Amino acid sequence: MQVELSGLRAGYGGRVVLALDALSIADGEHTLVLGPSGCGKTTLLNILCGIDVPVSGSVTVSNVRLDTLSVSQRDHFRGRQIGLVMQRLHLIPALTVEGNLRLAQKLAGFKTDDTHIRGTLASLGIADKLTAQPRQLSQGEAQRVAIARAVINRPALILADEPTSALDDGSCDSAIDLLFSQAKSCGATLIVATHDQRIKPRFSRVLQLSKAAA
Amino acid sequence: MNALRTALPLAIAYLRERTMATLLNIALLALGVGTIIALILTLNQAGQRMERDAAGIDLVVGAKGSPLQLILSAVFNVDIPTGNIPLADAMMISAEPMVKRSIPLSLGDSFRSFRIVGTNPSYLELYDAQIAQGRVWNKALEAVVGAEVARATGLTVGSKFAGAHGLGDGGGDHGDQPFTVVGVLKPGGSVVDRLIVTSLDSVWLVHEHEISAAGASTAKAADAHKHDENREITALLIQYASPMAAVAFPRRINAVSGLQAASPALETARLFTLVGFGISALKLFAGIMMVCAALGIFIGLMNALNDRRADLALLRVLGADRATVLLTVLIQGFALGIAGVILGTLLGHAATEWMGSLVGKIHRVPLTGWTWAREELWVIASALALTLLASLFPAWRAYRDAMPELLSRT
Repeated sequence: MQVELSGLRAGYGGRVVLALDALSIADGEHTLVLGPSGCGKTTLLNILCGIDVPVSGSVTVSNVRLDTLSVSQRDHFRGRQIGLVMQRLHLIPALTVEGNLRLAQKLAGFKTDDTHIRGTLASLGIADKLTAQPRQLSQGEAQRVAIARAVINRPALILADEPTSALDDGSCDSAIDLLFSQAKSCGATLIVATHDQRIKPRFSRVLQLSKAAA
Repeated sequence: MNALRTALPLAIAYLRERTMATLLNIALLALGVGTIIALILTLNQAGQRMERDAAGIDLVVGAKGSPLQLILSAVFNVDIPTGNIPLADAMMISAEPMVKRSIPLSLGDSFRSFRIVGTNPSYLELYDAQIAQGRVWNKALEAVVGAEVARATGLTVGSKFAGAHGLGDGGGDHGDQPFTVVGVLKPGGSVVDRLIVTSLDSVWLVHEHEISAAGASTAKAADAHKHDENREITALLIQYASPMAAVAFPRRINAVSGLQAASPALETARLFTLVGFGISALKLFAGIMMVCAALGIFIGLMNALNDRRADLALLRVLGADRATVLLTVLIQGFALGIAGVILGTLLGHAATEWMGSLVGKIHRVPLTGWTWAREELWVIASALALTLLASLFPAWRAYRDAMPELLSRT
């Protein structure tokens, strides 16, 4: 199992935002988490990557009980095991594309691997952007760099938060294509959280969250 | 170790991103550090010189006038003399039981702005000056030149030169009474390096001639006795037989009309209190520059912290622990500090060397930037401590505020 949740209650300041009694996602079972804003999608991703811990219940990702780890242990786990694609792509503007990818490798505690960086950029069709500054990139190019950063450490789990909601239909399709192909090439399970109904048909497994869950 | 490996390149990238602010902070710090170091080097060298040049001289007797001027002219050979005193008075003082050693000096002429000092060989002994080539004078118009004089003018044993009237360049010269160099001294780090030393007779001879030439050809050397009685010297350097002499001896001399006694130790101390205010003001100014630099670093880091909130959050998302985030900010401040201190130290030494080349040409006073002072380490350490202090709070803020967030939530 890639993900196992049980008896999960999560929230802030005494207010429960998300309740999931049980959830299992198998290795390679790409999953879409669908629901309107405020239903707890982001909270679920935060818990899966160890940014937040639940109020109660257990969280097991890649056979690690995240709810029992310390803050820095969870930081370390996230750096190595999780690839994150956020809605706001946010590359570090002071660093080049290469610098941003190297940073991700170093923060995970891996050696920097320039060959792997070039290969990943090439597989995303942006090999020529290696030494570009983030502000020189188009929106689409920046998203590809963000995807490259998410997969650069060959994570077990890729979490994507609203990766397509700002894109037109064509770009939306190609973004999902890239996510699938990258997840496949590094053997990762993909979980996408969105309110974007357009990509629903692409997933075999859909987890529908609603505000009523609280 | 891994935290450092990650934080260092990131910190450098951040500093490069804000080039102007970075350069301003470095420049400000470098100016502060450089100013203080230049002051330290200059004062140290001046102090060491003065100590060396005044060593063994307890009292200077000369013509009435400013006691500081008397010391500056007779001991350090930088100012003009206060006037002359009768040789007879000087002989009487030398015979006092409280006087262990006395050295007469006669000043007034120079060669290419190096002073010609008429004295006796004990002047060389006082500074422990060794002959490198040749010998000490044994008759009038023979001279021994200091190492720096030999280097700058090219005078060697056997050279002849004519002294110029006055202590600077451009006085009328005594071309008809040339000196012959009979010895060159080893460099000793004292005032003698920059002097041409000869006998008292030589100086008298040069000026007698001048007088007799002016007074027409009335019976040359008419009466040598009369000359002897009227002979004068510029100053008398005195070493006491006992420290007790310092109490009453100067007072007795000052009571004699036309004479004054001045203590090198007291006058140098007075000189340093006179210039001390200016030095303190300069040091304060340099200190303020350093504090401003630290403040600039503090403000820069705090601003950057606000601009880079998203970066900090991202670092955490990518697996950075809080220590790495702290280190990133701390390294930025410290890198500025190190760059400023290195640049400032170079600047201080270069400025001292530059001042030395300017001052050296005019006053023949040596000053070099190619030397170290222990106090410099204190300046460097406090500048680094200041920048570290300035980066501590921003670093702690980053440590505290760097929360990982998926940025869609905001």
